[in-house]
Amino acid sequence: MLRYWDLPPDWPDARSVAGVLEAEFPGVLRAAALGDERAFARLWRDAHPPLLRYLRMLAGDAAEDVASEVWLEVARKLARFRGGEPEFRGWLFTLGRRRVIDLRRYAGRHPVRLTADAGELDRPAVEDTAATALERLSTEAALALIATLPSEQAEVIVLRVVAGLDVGHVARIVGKRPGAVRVAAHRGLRTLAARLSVSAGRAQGVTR
Amino acid sequence: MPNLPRLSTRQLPDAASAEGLLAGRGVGPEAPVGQQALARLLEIAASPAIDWELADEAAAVAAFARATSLAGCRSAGARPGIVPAARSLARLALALTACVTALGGTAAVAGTLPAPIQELAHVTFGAPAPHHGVPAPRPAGGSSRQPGHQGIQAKDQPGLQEARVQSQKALPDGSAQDHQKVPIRRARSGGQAGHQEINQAGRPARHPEASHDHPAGR
Repeated sequence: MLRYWDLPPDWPDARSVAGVLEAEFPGVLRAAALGDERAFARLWRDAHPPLLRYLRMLAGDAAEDVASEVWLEVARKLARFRGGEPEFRGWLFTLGRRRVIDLRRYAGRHPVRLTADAGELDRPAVEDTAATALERLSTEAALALIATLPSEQAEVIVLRVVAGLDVGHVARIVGKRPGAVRVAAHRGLRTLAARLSVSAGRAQGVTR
Repeated sequence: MPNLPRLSTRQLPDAASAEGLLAGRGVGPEAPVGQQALARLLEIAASPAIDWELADEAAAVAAFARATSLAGCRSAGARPGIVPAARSLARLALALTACVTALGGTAAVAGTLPAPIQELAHVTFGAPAPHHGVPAPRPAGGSSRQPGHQGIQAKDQPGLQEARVQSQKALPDGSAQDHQKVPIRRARSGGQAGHQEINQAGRPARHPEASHDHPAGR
């Protein structure tokens, strides 16, 4: 099995993790709603990886359990769902976010950290984290670097980039206005760009 | 980030560049190093699924199959439009039964039910015997059978017959005196029960306390 740490730095990205069904989505959704397991598997393969990445940022090690609960709820309510692929993804990520909020309430006095990896990566110098992400070019490390942002900015960026949702859908998921979502995303990107610029400049200085 | 050196605004993405990056369009080759690195970072974060992320597919599909089969069983076994109505009717019937039982029980204990129903309640769960009004005077030794009171007859009740004989002996002149109450000990109770008052006609006196010990209810 190929693991993320086995990936070469210049691993080509043939396509994004989000939105691969596109035109096929209505038919697949209809078949899955009627109980077709293969159709459901296609939906799952399409939407589970970005959901898992999003949940790993929100719930850390509990992400897989939360994702399982989300898909179980989807299976129960799929016949009543109406909408296209963006709406389906929005519904899916909304369910995941609600589950994480429930999990945090359940945890009570011991709230779940946004991400264990991000917390550990946050302790050393930021430049070291950015350099690690650039060198390894792994999905996990990239998400960990994004997760070092303030939680609101990181969540918005992951929903837009990883889940492939537009501003309107992200705003509905996080319960904010589209303008606030846009501002949070831009601030997060500028922070990341600043970190990466410093890291890249130092790396170029070392190589010279 | 306070510890980051200040970068020129050219190094940082403007609003248009940021939207392009968020939409997955990337940046051109002329873009600053920081923006190119950022574009690469976002590209990797949204990279296609890795094998371990798809490892639970079989379990997810199995859970889906279970959920849909359960939903199918529920939808086949229950007609959604009818079940709520049936439940409402059942609840209404239950509430009516409870009301009737409560009111009827209260009325039976108070002795205000019609005579046949009161008699049934009396025999069934020991409610007071039905009232028949004040009996008309009758000659001593007359039949204890009363019209309309078929359920209780003195000849069928040995305790009543004995009580009548004792009450007649207790009177000095042996004459019948209605409404004169004489305490006796019930014959069937073997002396364990309390006294019961009966009148000279051989019928138990209408007394709230004595009514619960009416032998006909035994």
